[in-house]
Amino acid sequence: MVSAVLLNRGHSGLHLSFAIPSFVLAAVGVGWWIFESITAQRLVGGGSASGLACGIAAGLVIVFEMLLWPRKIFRRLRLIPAKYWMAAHIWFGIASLPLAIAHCGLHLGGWLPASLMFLFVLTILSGLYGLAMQNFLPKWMLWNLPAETIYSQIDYVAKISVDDARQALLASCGRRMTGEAKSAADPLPELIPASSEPIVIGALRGSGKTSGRSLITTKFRDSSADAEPLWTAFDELQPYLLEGKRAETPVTSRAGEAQYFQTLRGACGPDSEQIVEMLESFCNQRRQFDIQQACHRWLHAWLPVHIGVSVAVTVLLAMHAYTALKYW
Amino acid sequence: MLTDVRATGKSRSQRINIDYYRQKTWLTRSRGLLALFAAALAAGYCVYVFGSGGPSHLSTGPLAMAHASFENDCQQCHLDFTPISADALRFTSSRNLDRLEETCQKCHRVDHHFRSSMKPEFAVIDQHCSGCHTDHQGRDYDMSNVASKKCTQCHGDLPATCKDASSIEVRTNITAFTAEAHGDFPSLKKGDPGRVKFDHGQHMMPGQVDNGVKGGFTIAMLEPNLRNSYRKSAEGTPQGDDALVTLSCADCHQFAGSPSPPSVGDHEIGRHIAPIAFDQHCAACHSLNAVGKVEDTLPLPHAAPWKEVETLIASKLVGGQQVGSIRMPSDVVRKTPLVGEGYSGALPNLSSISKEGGEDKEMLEASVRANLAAVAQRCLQCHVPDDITDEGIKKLRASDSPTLIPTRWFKRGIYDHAAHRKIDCAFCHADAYPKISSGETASVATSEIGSTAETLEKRDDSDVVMIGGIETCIGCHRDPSSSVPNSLTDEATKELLGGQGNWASDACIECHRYHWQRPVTPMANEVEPQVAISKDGLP
Repeated sequence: MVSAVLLNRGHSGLHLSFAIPSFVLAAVGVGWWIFESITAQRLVGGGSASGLACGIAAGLVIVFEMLLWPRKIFRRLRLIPAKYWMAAHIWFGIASLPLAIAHCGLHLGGWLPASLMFLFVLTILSGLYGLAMQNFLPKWMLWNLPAETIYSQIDYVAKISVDDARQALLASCGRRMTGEAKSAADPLPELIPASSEPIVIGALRGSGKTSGRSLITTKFRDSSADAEPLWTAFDELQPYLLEGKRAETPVTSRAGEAQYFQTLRGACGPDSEQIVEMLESFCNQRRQFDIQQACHRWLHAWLPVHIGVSVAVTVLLAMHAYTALKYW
Repeated sequence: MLTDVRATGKSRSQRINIDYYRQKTWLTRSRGLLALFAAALAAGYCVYVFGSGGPSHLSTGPLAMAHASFENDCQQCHLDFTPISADALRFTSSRNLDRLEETCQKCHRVDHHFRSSMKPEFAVIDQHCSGCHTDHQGRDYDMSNVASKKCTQCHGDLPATCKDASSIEVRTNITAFTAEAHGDFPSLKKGDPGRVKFDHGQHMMPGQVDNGVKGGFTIAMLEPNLRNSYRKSAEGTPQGDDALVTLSCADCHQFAGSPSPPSVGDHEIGRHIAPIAFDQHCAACHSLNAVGKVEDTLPLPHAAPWKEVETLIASKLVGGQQVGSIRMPSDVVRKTPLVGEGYSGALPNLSSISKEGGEDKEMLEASVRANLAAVAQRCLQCHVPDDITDEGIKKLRASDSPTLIPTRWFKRGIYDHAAHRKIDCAFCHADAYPKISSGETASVATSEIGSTAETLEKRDDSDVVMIGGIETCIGCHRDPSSSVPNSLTDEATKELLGGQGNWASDACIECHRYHWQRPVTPMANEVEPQVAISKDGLP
């Protein structure tokens, strides 16, 4: 279903098969209403033949649009492939707006029909917004956010990256010497100040146009000489890696990050370059996660509004149909 | 702690929570919450509307002021699930139309408009009140202001509307108020149907005499009680009794309410011209005083049966002789009459008057006959012989008889004189004014004292309908987008218009009424109007 929203050449057949009938339906309805209005020398209302037909058509479209909800709830039943549902949802929904406008005869009427029309337009606009976002943002994210992960797992993945950084530092610099340990004569037996064993960590890798997150097995050089600045850097970076732009750190801004790592490189030797690159990579990843979160809100925040308003439209539609026929 | 050197599938799979998809995110929660909230809000609104919120939320617009009292009682007009709108699909069953008409007729007692002559699809239009009178347009909306296209939808092609096209008495294709599209007023083309001989031209002349003729009417010659009605003033000084009587339009034609209201709503003062009444408009000059008129003599009654007139003449003669105000031929000449004797030594008494073959009786009868003949001659000045017979007089005195002078000239239109009061009478009634010798009409001359009578020409215009046709109307009553016609731009016309604006609506309802009769079938307890209804049956 997700791909069905894409209005591209690959889906042209799918969309045209719904777009054309929708356009014809809307054109016929509106055309009939225009003809009847010209004949009557005024804008005919919803009770006229054309107005009523347009209203019924728009109402049926609204009911069809709402059927997408149970379709998704009962997705296991696989009632008609979802891509067809989505394409029909888009094009019939768009066609319903001119039909509804023709039905009302460019006259809002009382509070109830005016509220219905207002919410209906809001539904259409939110849907069009979502359609636009779905056609634009995912592609942009694909190209610009190679570190993209599952949205709900961002914090979890960030935590894992912090663990990976800690492991890399332990492997490269050994354990951070605390005040108590410094005073002890012997190091803790589990410490391996500089390991020659490779470790597996997550990383961002790219090959040509393809890039993304993956696991790498790497062996860090001995950077124990720069243990202090590196562990200090880790302490300073950790809040950012965990919380992203919510944390006030020296690397929260992109410019600050560049300056920070430049300073760190200056404070460390060449053997520590690998660690510094890793830390910088993790910061970059976190930045992408922040952007991904923002994009996710742009992509999906309209949906609750769209659903909520459409539910209200459905309720008011039922009431409007009843009262309009009662006081025709 | 170090991890395995190589990344395994398990290690990869542990990079994310395997059941992440089961976790509810803010998106899922907000979606459900908003849907519930929206549903609750909408449902609450529905409950409010059906409850105390009232029909105002369902109404497409406020009702007009006249209907505002039952704005929240839709059932006054609407029948559940039954179309009432003029747009509605033709689900309009006769049951609904009858009900709608009955509902409106509760307050608006009007009749249909030749519905029995219409084809069914047009009869529906006639019966459908809201087709022309649409409410829900706001408090200040005038529901009686019906657009002309409502009229022309039928009158634009009447044969298509009527069952029997041959029964149509009016123009069959009226689409607008222009000379071409509307045509001239047919009522005025049928000639003067009046039965009174009246010469406007002569009466408008000073003294009411022909050119060069002396001895015209003076104020002194009028009935004493009516002299001041005709006494004009010049520069604040009233005319003396020796001045010539100079009539103006207003001396005979006064604004009044509708004299015979066959239609609903035409009772406004000033809309019509009051009917001509002999006692008010003619008696000053044309009083019937065949017997020895002196100052303060009461004239004979107008339109009295001849027997009555004869009795009155006889009683005047006998009574006058008794009191000495009348001298009979047999009376001995005395300079002054004596009480009980009169001018002669012996007054005739009842026995001598009633004695057959007696001289007194014969003399009295001869005098009566002579006076009757004189009265009849005066009647024939204005009336045709058939109308002054006893049968004719009896017929005219009946309450339902048509008047000798038509009270309304437009058979199917209304003209509001009050709305046009600024305009000089001559603008529409030019033919009522005598023409001066140069061929121009004396327009306001008759309202001015001292007009040159010798330059006015006499015409016999008693059979002329002196009302201008459509050409006098369309100059002002025209499409609002049209320019002022040249006929209204010259100074003489502007003076006649008297400052009245030179544009007015050309809508059909300005002059015509659709509902011009009361329903034939009265409602229960309905009180018939007290005003006499003319049997003209005019709209």
